[in-house]
Amino acid sequence: MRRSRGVPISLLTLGVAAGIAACRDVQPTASRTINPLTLTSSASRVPQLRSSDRDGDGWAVQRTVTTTPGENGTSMSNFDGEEAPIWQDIGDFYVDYGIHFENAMGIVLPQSSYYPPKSPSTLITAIIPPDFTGGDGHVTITFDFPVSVFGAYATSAMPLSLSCSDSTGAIVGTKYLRTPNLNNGESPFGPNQNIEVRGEGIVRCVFDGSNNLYGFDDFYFSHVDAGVSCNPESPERGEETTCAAKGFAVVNAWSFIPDSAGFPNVRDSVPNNEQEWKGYMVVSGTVRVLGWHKVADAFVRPRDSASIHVAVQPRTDWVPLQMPGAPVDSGQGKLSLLPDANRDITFGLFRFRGPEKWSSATVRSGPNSGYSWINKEPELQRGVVYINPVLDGKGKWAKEQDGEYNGKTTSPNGRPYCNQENLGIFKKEVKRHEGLTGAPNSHYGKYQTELKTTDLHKQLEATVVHGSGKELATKAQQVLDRWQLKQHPVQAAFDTADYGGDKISKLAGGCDWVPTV
Amino acid sequence: MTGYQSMTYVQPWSHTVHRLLVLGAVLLTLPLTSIAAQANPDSVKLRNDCRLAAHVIRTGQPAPKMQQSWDLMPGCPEAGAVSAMALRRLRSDSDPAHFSQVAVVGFNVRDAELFTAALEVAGDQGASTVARAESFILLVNQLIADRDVSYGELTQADTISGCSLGWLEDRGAPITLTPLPADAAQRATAVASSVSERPQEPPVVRIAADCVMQGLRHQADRQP
Repeated sequence: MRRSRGVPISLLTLGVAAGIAACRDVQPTASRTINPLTLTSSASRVPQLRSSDRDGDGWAVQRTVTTTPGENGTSMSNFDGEEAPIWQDIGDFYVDYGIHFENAMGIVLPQSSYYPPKSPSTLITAIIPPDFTGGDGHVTITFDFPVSVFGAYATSAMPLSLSCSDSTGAIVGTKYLRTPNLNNGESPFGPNQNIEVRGEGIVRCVFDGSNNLYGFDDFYFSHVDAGVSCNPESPERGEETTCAAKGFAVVNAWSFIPDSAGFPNVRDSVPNNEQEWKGYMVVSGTVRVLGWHKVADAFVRPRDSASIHVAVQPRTDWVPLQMPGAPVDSGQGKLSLLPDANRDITFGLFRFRGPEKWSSATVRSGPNSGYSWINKEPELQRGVVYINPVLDGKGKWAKEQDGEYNGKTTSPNGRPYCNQENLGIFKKEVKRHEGLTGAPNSHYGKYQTELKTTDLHKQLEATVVHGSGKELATKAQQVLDRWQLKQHPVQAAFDTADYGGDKISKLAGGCDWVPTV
Repeated sequence: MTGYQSMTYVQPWSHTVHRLLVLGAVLLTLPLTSIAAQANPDSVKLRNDCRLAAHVIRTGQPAPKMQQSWDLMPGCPEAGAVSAMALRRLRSDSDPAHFSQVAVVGFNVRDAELFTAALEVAGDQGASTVARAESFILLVNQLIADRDVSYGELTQADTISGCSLGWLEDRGAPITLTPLPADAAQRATAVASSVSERPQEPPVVRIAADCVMQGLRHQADRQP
């Protein structure tokens, strides 16, 4: 610890004494009225603080403050050995700790004085106006943040009270030093008696004593530890969460580190000490607040930080997607009346369609700022079915289905060649196969079953991007594409089961198609 | 002669028809030139029919034969060139119905000339909105085996959600007349991304361009 001017110092703050100038360098004459206990002493006089006790007037630079863990997420800070401005108004000297004094000043007194400092080698401070006039015996301490304990070690020539109140002005608690305890051998308790108020939400404490006849040293308080909380901590995707810093005098920045490595961090350098960070949450991750702690150890650079994990929950009201009904019959579409490269006629075609649009939103503030998500469960469109008009006898291939090929009516398989009637029979099966009838044994039906039994809706529910709604739509489409890729084997298996082998001949009425060119 | 005409059935339809349900990009492996070398009376007739159909489509005369000519076209070697010509001619047309015949060919036939024409019209800011959108759809059909969308659906979409490209079940295998250029996908992507990112482009055209990019992304996802 640095010593100022080689004088052992202690921290003592004394109430301003009105009319103290009259007492300068003289022994009090009105002691009987202000310190009855002293009247019984052999000294028969009340010691007062005097300007001659002053020992320099420089601002101290060294701070020795210890902080120890307290109860329920708090820490206790003790201002032992603090050097305060000597013989000057303390005012905002402790502003870095979030503490402000009114009517208080520092002075230096020796250990042998009536007001000995509690801690050796510390500065004694007292409030005494330069002209020793004014003041009303009150020292007011206000906090930038609520504390749960405030106390000090007081020495007083007169009864002294310490009263603390919350932000509404309501008194939280009051403690008294009812018996004078000067260092004169007359007090049964001795100097530096502990006086302490406990309670929730203390933001203001007032020492109420008599003029310049008391002082206190080694004040302390219990503060909330640096921390951050988010409410709710496990929001549903798209629910707003409010994160609040605790124990920070100054918040410099908020940041969000997503759980998924594929997403970028979000950082918000707050210029106005925003103690809250709120916004819609769509991805899980860690919310971190960075700032200057409100109390001693953490207020010293480097800055302190606190973190909390926010776990976004899937929305529970999302259900498996379903097409809203049997597919739409869209006629021929782009089907050719001629065989394809595999010499096959495409009799029918089913087209599975995703949502017409993706309803999305982008987070504008808070931890997930810049992220977009699907804010409403998508609705699939009805599928589309195309039926080839060859089944109505249109085109060259259809016309050649006349039950005869090269003069023969029976195929090498022993089945009759198909005719126009068979086209009509088969058309019904094609409609059923593609899904126009809504049958479960159709491409439409197989998709509906897969939609019910797979987790596509969950995948889409969790689809999030750090980017625009358009980027989100692209990603959602990819999710759908990848799901659809897995449907190929399912649909192919259905084709084999429904049309494979000679089944298609049976579906057409037990015939073989007339080969054509 | 055409591939269509040369097809000789070694088995009855009942044995082979199930293949029509097999999806995927099945390319015609038999070169058309070798097919053309085989001559039979039917192929001669079809060749003549195709020439006539191509003439009808090119000249528009006789008008009553137009539909029949288009119906025949997917089986003709002239299909790519004729459709490319028709698409260019429709460059300023704004009636989606006028594109249906070209679309049928584009869906069933792969052809480099048709691809080039579609790429050209799709990127042409002087072409009609319908012609450009239909050209992008045609590019989808040329490049991607089992995805499709209709012009009507594009008009229902918005530029944020983009294209809702459907998935096809039971699509047959397109006939390849002239193989697409090796860099076809890159060229299509270049035009599509350029159009898609230009805010001044008509929304339908941008969405149609998005269909191409989406389909090609899907193709890429399928690569092992």
